[in-house]
Amino acid sequence: MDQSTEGVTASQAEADLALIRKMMSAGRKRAGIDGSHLVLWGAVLAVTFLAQYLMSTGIVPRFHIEAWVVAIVTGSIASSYLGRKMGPQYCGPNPTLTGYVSAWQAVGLTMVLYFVTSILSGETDNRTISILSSGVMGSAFFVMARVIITKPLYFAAFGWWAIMIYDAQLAEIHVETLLVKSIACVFLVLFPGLFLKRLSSAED
Amino acid sequence: MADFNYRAIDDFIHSRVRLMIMSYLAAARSAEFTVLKKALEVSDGNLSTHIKKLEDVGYVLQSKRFVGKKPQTLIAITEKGDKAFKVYVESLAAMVGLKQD
Repeated sequence: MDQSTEGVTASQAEADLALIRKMMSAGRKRAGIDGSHLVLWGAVLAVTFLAQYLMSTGIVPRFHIEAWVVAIVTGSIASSYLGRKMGPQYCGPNPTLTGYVSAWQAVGLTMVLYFVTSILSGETDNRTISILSSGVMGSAFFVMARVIITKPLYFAAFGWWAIMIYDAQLAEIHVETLLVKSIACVFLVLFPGLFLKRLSSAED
Repeated sequence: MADFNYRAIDDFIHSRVRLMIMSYLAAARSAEFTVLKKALEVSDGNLSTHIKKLEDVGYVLQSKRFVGKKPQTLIAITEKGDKAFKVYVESLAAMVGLKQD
C-alpha cells in the first residue's frame, strides 16, 4: 500500500518526479545545454596548447601562428556544423541560450582582436595573452554557471581564474605554462562539457 | 512517515500544469509563452491562468518585449520560484524514499 500524505501518494510522487525529469530535459534542450561545443573546443585547445609546448621545446618544428590559425578555423567549422545539427531543436531566439552563447562569443572576439592586433603591431606578449585568455574563460564559465546553475561550471570558472592569478604573479611566462594550459583545457573545458552532455542525455 | 513533512508539498506547484511550467523553467530559466505552450501542449487560456497563479506568488515573472515588430511574452523563473521548486522536488524524493524503506 502507498504511503500517503494529504492527497499525495508515493506512486503519485514517482509519477510527478518522472514528469519533472521529462520537462527539465525539454527545458535543457531548449536552453541548448548540451556540452558538445565545450567538448569540441576543449579538445581543440588542449591539442593546440600541447603542440605549442612541443614546438617551444624544439620537439617538433615551430609553426606557432599557423597552428593557432588551423585550430581556430577547424574549431569554428566544426562548431558551426554542431550548431546546425542541433538547430531544429530550437524555435526562435532563446534568451538563456543567447546569454551564454554571447559570453563565449565575447571570449572568441576578445582573443581574436588581441591576437590580430598584437601580430600586426609586432608586439606579441605571451604573458598578456595567457592572463587575458584565462580571465575571459573564467568569466564565460561564470556566466554559464550562473545561467545553468551547475556546480562543475563554477569549478571551471574558479579554476581559470586561479590560472589567471598564477600567470599574473609570474614575471614572465615559462614554456611549461603551455603544458598547464593544455591540461587545464582538458579538466576545465572538455570535462565540464562531458558533464553537461551526460546531464542532457541522462534526462532523455 | 514521521520523517516526512507533508506541509512541504507546495500547493502552488502541486498542479500538473504548474509543475510542468516550473520544471521546464527550472532547466531553461526562461521561455517565450509560445514555446512553453508548445512544450506543455496546453491552450493559451489554460497556460495564462497557471502562469498568473505562479506570478502572484512570485515564482515566475512575465515580461513583454519585441522581436522585430512582433510582441513576445517571456516567462522567467525567479529565485524564490527556484528555491520553492527545489524544496518541492526534495519533498517528492523524500516521499518516494519513504516508500522504499
